[in-house]
Amino acid sequence: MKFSLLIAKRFMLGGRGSGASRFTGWIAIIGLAVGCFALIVSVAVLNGFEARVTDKVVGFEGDLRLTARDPAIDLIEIAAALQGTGLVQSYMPFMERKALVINDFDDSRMVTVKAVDFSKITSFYKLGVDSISNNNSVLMGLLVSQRMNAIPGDRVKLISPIDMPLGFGLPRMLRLPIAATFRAEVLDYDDRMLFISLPAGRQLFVRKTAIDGIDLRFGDQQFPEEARTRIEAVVPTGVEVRSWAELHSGLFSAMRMEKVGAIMVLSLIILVASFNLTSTLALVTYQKVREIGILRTMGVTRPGIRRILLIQGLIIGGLGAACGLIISSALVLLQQKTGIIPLPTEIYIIDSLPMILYLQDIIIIPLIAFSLIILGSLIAGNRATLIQPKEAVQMEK
Amino acid sequence: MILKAENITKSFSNGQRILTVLRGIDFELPEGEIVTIMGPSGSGKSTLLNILGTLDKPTAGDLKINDLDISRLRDRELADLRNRTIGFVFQFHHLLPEFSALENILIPSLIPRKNSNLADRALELLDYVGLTEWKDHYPSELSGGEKLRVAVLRSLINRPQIVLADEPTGNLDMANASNLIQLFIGINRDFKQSLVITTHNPEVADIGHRQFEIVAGKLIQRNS
Repeated sequence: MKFSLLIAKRFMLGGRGSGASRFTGWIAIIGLAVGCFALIVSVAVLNGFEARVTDKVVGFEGDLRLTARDPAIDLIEIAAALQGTGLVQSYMPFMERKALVINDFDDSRMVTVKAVDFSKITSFYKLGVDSISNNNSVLMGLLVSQRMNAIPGDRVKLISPIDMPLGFGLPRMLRLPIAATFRAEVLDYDDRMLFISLPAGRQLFVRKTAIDGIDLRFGDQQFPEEARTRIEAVVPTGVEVRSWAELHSGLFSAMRMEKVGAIMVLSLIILVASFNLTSTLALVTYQKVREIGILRTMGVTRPGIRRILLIQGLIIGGLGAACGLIISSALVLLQQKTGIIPLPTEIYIIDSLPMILYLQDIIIIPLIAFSLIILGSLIAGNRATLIQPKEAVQMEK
Repeated sequence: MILKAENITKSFSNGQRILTVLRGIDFELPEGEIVTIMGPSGSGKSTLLNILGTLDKPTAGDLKINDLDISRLRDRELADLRNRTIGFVFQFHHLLPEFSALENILIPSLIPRKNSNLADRALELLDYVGLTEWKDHYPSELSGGEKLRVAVLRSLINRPQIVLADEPTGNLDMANASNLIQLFIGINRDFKQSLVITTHNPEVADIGHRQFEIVAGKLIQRNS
């Protein structure tokens, strides 16, 4: 290995006076740097957006949700017990159903009405609302309010079409003032969600005999999966525990697929750059045919020649990949600290490009890069092993 | 006997016809002997030397080095054998331009995984040929004769049993050729080094204890 490294370093990019291979070598280094840079930055941006979405979804729903098919199971009692043992920080019982909202001009819109405990709604959900003074009111999604031409202070009617007190006739109707509007900025919640208090929910959803479920929130110090396992162990049979990721599995699997797709497509840049590296090493081999031949006569094996080319490839490719990784990581760090790349807030809601790099990305992306570099180097190395020493040593200067 | 070749035949085929260059050559090399092989260009001298040096395989015949049947050895074993047992000198010096004279001499000693530090031996060899002050110079800074002397020293660094020299003076002027001939005589005398030298230079051929000529693919001894 020591010998191969020595020869690889001295033969680097064709050794003395090898302009062509030096030029293509630099192109390979730049190509690999660009490929790694693009891959890291793209993954960081996708991570950033995913984290924003996750944060919003969790902020709107909680870390875990408990539901029970049997209405006899008292979910509130279970949640209170969990809070008592310290497994959850807080909980929020809710009822949820499609309903019709009607304004004073008789404009109507189908929305999802979620009845929750108004006393802790602003602390439990991240809605951008400080407090609600009137418990018997409506908290309306900003886009719903805009479409309904309704502003805080206006009254709206709520009707749940399937909740008829007698099982037939007209459904129950509530007329409530709008306490405030919220802006969740995730999915279409702002365009279809309304919050009312639990007592109002019980009045409106007359056919519901119990709450639909309970959203749970952990303390910051807990690991969600660990906490979930512990909760699943203590809740009685019949209670289903689901995370926000499971509730929105379609969305999150789409984001995962998007990330995998981006990694695969952008890896092609590295693949092309590694082919360029192969060309460079092939050129080095061509320029060093005599030297490789003489090394073979002196006792260097075919694997030894392959190893020399592999080391060269790793040095050249590693330099490119390292440059790309360092520059892109620095950019991600800079963006996180200063937000130098802005986004138009009217389109993207957020004011700067979100970028996050996880440890797994910092491991996987260099792994991809180095796998492709090794592949490219081995292709060139295998070509070099085909050099016949008896022919190489007959070549004149 | 260090090297023994029996009934070596080598043919080349271009797809339509077969050209036989060597026809049943028998050859032996004892320790401490200089053997020279003459012949015009294309007579098969280099082909024979390549076969003796395990760089090429004969179409037929057996080659044994230290009683080891070469045809049974794998690539790695052949490479190891070449490194330990055989030194090569070619018409062109083939020094590695990125290495100094001293480093070039040392290269064969660095190839084995368990290599020994032969820097002192390399310096002694440089001193032997009067090139000590050129040890740190690169090949581009050496004359043709100096380069070839360094190449000879490189072939000697691992104390090989056999040195094979393929037309070593073919690229040198008279003075440098004469110096190289003296060097070969010297290393044979002082180190008991066995040498097989191919040449078309009669002066070089004359230094052989046994002198051969390849005629029509056959090895014919010129002296008794």
